Amino acid sequence: MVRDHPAPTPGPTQEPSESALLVRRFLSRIGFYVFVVIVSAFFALPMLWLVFAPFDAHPTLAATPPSSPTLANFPDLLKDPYALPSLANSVVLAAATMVLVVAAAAPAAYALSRVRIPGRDLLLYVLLLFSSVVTGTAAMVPLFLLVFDLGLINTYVGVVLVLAGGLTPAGIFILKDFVDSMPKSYEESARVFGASSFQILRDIVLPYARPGLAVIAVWVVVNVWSNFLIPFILLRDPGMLPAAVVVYNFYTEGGQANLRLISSFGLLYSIPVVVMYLFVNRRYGFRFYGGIKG
Amino acid sequence: MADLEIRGLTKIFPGGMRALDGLDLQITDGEFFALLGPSGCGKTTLLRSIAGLETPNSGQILIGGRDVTRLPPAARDVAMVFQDYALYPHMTVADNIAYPLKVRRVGRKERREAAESVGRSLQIQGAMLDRRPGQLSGGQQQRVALARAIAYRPHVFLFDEPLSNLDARLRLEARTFLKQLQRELGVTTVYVTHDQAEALALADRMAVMDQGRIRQLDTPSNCFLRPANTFVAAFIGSTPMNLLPATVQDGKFDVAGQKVMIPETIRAQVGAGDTVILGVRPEYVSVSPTELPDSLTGTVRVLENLGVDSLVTIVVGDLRVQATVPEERVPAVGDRIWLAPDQRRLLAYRQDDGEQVGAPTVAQSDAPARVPGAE
Repeated sequence: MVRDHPAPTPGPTQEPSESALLVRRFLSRIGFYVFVVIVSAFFALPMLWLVFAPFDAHPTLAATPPSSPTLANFPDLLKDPYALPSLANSVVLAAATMVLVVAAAAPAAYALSRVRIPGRDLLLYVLLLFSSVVTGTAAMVPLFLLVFDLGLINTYVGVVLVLAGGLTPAGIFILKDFVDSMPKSYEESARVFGASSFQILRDIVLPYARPGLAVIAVWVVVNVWSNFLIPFILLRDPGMLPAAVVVYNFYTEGGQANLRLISSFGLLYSIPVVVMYLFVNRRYGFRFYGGIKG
Repeated sequence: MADLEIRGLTKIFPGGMRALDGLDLQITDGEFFALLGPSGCGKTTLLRSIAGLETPNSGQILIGGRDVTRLPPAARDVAMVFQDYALYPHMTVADNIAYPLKVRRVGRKERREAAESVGRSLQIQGAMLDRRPGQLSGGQQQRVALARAIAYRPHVFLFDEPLSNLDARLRLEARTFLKQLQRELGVTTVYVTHDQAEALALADRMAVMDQGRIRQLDTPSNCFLRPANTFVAAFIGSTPMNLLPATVQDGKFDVAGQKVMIPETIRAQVGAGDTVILGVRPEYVSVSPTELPDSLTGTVRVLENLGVDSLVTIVVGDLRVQATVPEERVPAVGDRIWLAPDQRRLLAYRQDDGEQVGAPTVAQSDAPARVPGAE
């Protein structure tokens, strides 16, 4: 900084303020990095624990590298008769719910996007609002009674219907956005070429909204995978319970957690979801294709 | 191949917007027909009604003598090329071209063959067939959209401003290509555009539309040389036509206090004291640095270079007149010059409704000579 006009006060009084600025900038930088590290650690620690604890003969709640590394936790886990089958049960429930939600949400989103009915948006918002009640604790008792009266207690059909009912409105909501973004000329040109509504849905709308379908499919699977309450109240047979419920088997009667089994089960429980996410992202991509020239 | 007839077509959108107002139109088999007009004039609504994408409130549409007014788009045998081309981004070029065949449940192998043979005639071949539309240039996308329309083998082509997304140079190439293609295929074509140069260049006949009505239905050269009314006169031509208010005095037109001879063809139609609007294109105004008989005089205000010619704006009294001048005779700004409109190209319009003096009141005729002896 060169000042060629004579300043009333000599240079030195100005310099400290500039260096103070530098110091402040430096400190705020450090502060920022510290903040980032703390926040990252906050989210990374449970994952680190999940990676370390299953291989520790005596895991604690601290995320430390195994002091006495072992693979013995997994054979012990397999001795539990419900552990592995529960993962398969989760897959069945998640897949069935996913298929049902996608099959229901796709045509509904297309119709709601293209047909003008009065109060359409209100209908969507109301559905969305109430859907969070369906799978929530508030509706637990009525849901139980409803499913009981339908004779669907202790069946996967009951669980899948309740879960799908709770997730479909949000699925429609997400998917409608994808369909809304599709230029009308796509359908119009197909119609002029003679395509029926079904052909348009199959050949054009669904492939166009494929990233959207992938998004809701993954979202449904993750939701069902982690849902504890609905299968817990609707299923009786321990052999039918999904993993999210079975994890409670690894507590002793006194409520003491068996960290060896919980951590190794937790690892097995999370792997399918991570793999699915990677697969879907690679295969379908959570994105749009851009083809039309505007 | 088929002819196309529109009878009394009216379309009123919810909200009361009258997009088409009792429109009548006949397009002959194999004709290249352009619908021209400013945005909101109803040209696209008319095209979409022909395609079956809009349902008219009243009137009839006949394709090849068959009433298709209430038929779905699929039953009309028309192919439409959209302004945005509407190519499906998730399909390859070949699949896009053959999609109309897929709808008709044609086998995969035949579809591929059809895509290849249609593509070849439009220079879409080889690796390009397996690309996706997003990987193509604008001009290529436009050709793919054309190929898809051709693969459908329709009776009528409907084009909705298909060139408007191309840049200027490419648009000219595509224009020539399109006209040649239409000639070769001989398919009746309705072409919507807001670009008057495109309509003039492509069409066998054209309709100039405004507010849901046809203001002139004629050949491009008639629309250019003898616009039926001041609307068409102002809309057509790359340099706007001069429209000058004039009164008839002593057997001459009085324009801003100066006298212009009344052409033979108009003389019988006007009487002393009549007020008209004179129309003459800048191309048909000759300019001289020395005095001419029966001419207007004024000073040069603006010069615009058009390439071969220059467009000169001259202030005559309180009017502005434009003339195109060849490069070797361009005056300087501030020069006093004389202007003589070509008597054979001077048109007169009634002040009240803007229709041409001496022309039939109904502008919807394709008679070759509306103004007798004008050429």
